[in-house]
Amino acid sequence: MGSNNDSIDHFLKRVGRRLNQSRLLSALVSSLLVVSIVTLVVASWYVFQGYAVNRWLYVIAPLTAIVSAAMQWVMNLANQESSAKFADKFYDLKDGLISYLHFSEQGKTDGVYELQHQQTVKKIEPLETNVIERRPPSKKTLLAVSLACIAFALMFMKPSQAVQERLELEDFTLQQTEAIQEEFQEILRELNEQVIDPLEREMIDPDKLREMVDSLDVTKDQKQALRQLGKLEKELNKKLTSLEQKKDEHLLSKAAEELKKARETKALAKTIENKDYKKAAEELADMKPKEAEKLSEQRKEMAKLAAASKKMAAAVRNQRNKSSSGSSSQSASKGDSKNASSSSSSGKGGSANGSGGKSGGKLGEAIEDLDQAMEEWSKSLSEAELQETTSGECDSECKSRCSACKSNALSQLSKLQKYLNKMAVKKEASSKLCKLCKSCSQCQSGLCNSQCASSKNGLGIGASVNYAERSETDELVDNGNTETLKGIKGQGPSLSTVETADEGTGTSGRATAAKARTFKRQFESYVEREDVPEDVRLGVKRYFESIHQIEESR
Amino acid sequence: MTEVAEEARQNAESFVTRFNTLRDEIGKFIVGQEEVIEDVLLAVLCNGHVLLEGVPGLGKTALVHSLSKALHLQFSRIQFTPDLLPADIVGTQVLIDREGHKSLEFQPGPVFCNILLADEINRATPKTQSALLETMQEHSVTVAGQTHQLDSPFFVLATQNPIEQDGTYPLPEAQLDRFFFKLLVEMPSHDEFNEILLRTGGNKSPEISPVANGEDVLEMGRTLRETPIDFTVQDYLVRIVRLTHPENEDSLDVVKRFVRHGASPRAAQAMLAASRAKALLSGRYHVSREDVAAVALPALRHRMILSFEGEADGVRTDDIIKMIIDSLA
Repeated sequence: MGSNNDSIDHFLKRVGRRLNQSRLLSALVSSLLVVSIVTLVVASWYVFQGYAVNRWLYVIAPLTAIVSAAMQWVMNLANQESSAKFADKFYDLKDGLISYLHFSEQGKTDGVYELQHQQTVKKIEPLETNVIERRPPSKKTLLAVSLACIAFALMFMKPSQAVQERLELEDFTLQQTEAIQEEFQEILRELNEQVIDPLEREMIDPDKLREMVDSLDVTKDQKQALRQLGKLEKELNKKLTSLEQKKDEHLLSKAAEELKKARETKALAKTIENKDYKKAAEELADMKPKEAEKLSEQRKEMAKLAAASKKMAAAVRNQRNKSSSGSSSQSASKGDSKNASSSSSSGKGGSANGSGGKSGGKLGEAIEDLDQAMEEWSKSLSEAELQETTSGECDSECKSRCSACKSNALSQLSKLQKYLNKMAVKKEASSKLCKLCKSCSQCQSGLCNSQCASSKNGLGIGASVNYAERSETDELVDNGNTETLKGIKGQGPSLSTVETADEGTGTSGRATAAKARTFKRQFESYVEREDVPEDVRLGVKRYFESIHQIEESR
Repeated sequence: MTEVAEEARQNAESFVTRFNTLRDEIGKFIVGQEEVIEDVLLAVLCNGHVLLEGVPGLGKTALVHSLSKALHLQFSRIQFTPDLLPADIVGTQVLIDREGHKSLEFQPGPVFCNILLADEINRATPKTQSALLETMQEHSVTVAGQTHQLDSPFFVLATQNPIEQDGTYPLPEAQLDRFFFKLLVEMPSHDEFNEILLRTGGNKSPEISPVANGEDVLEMGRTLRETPIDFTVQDYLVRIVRLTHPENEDSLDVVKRFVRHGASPRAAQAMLAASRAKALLSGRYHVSREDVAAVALPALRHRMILSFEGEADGVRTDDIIKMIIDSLA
């Protein structure tokens, strides 16, 4: 009985093993079929879209097939019961094995159950498990393999020209954006090392710049990359604008011209011309008069500084005069013009004139203050000298006035020095930011050029575009062939239509005079408004005056 | 092999031998109809009643007659007619004058036998038909408040003609359900026709000798009930029966559409008993799905009541049962 039990168990094990092998193969084939279909669909989608099929698909697909087959196989692993059911069906054992299993599980082994067991054993004895097919269904296998081959063949298809170009561009943009970010980081690192001066640091604000650079994303999208760079450039330009000091530089260049005229201030002039404001500040500091007991020595000490301040102040004054006269003459000449644009021009002139008083700005003020302080000091020194020559000695009041004037002059000098130093720092910061800005522009142009380079379409052989522009306007030359084209009255289409009035009497709805009066009143009230700038108001006034003059002359 | 196993083996072998002997004996007179003979014997061994349906002259009555002879059992025949009364079947009380003392005595009807042939059962009125209900189910007769037990074994073998419907009363569902099997007696083949003529055309007709008795039949019944059935096979049997019910969600559309009532648990009992006998006859000691499927048709065909639509469309219950079996394959 025991050996009989073993024989059934052994038989079921063999069947189970064979069944598992067969199921593994069929699971593999089924999975391969499903995965092949999915892969083919995905690959076809890629191909129809013009892309090359993603290579990862061919890594993922077999792995998926293997994993799903393994899962399917594990889930369907044959146990003793399923093996018995299969064997009953396969060998036509009429539920003998499954009945035996259940009877033995229930402990029914005697009597008729023993007979049933023996009968089952007898039936399975001649059976061979080798007859259980291990081969997967051939049609299914063939289909799966064919589909897999087709899907695999699609892997070698190249992307379309347009897609290839776009991909190249994306690749290029990605590399470029990476390079740009690295480059900017490098520039920022250098900038961080270079900027030591706290004032300069405050002006440049490297931390904010770093934030801005960090916000640049590495992207494939060229437009986005350009947008990012444009934004960065805009921010840098804003910063640069805040650091702009053209007026002051212009004023200093004028001052340098004046300083050149005197021998003792030539060096300073040259330094200012070279825009080395730091050195200029140092040179000014060198001009600082030394402590001297005697008045004559004091005058001698201050002479150089006085000369410099005078020259510079003269330049400031000249500049102011020039700008004010320029603006007035401009406005006068524009006032004579008879076109409507004169109002805006005179407005501009007015604004220039308005700022003429401040043309020197803070620098001008500082120079003039210095000059004034030097003059006061010189005056106090002259008074002291006069007192010394008349009474042999100057009194303490005079001395204290002199020293007060001197200290005032020195404080004004230090103010000017500070301003020059600040200018120097600004210039330095500006140049550094300029460098960054330049790289930003270069990067943008680099990105754009890539697009140009990638598009190989061109206009074709022999085709070109003429971008030449006419810079000057040619004067019209009368060649004497002027003809006046006249239309024939009553013929041809006319754009104007004659509207017939309704019958009877009526009042015209077009109150032209009233309208004109309303406009005039509006203009006058506008001109009278307090918030309207003086220049604009003046311009409008002159315009109307000119109109009246014309009307009167008629 | 243990003694119990040896005894079981002997019983099983004896069952098969006796069954085959009986079949062969009946086969001496009845030509062909092997399947019907086997099913009739199965039903008899399972202590069930059989409804034989077939056109006249196919040997239905002869089959029953042969069976009674072969089994050496008391045989009665009732020809059902519309004017037949229940008392004509079960018996009645008659006044008996015994030496001046008059008393009512029970006069047993033809039902008091071992094998009752109810010929053309559908020709009797429902009242008379239903007189058989108690007899078939309880194996007893109650007349005037007195219950009289029938001899064991007791089988009713009823016949009905499917083509002559005038003046007939279809059997009520309750009565149909009490028939173990409904067997369709088909027209014999060409060769079988020849054989019938050969056997019955002469002066001599084959003699049927008794090869078993009532005790043997009861013993064979006990033997077949010992045949084990696995619960998966039994589950298969139950599923078949349940799928004949239109209210079952899993039932086929054809069942839902054409069947009014499905088979009862009595059908499942009949199928179980018959499939056990089939298994033994196949030389197996366990019941298989094939055995269950083999007995499904005779056990279920008369227990499934078709709807009006099914009747109108001429749907056959046999086809529906085959579809159910196919759906479970």
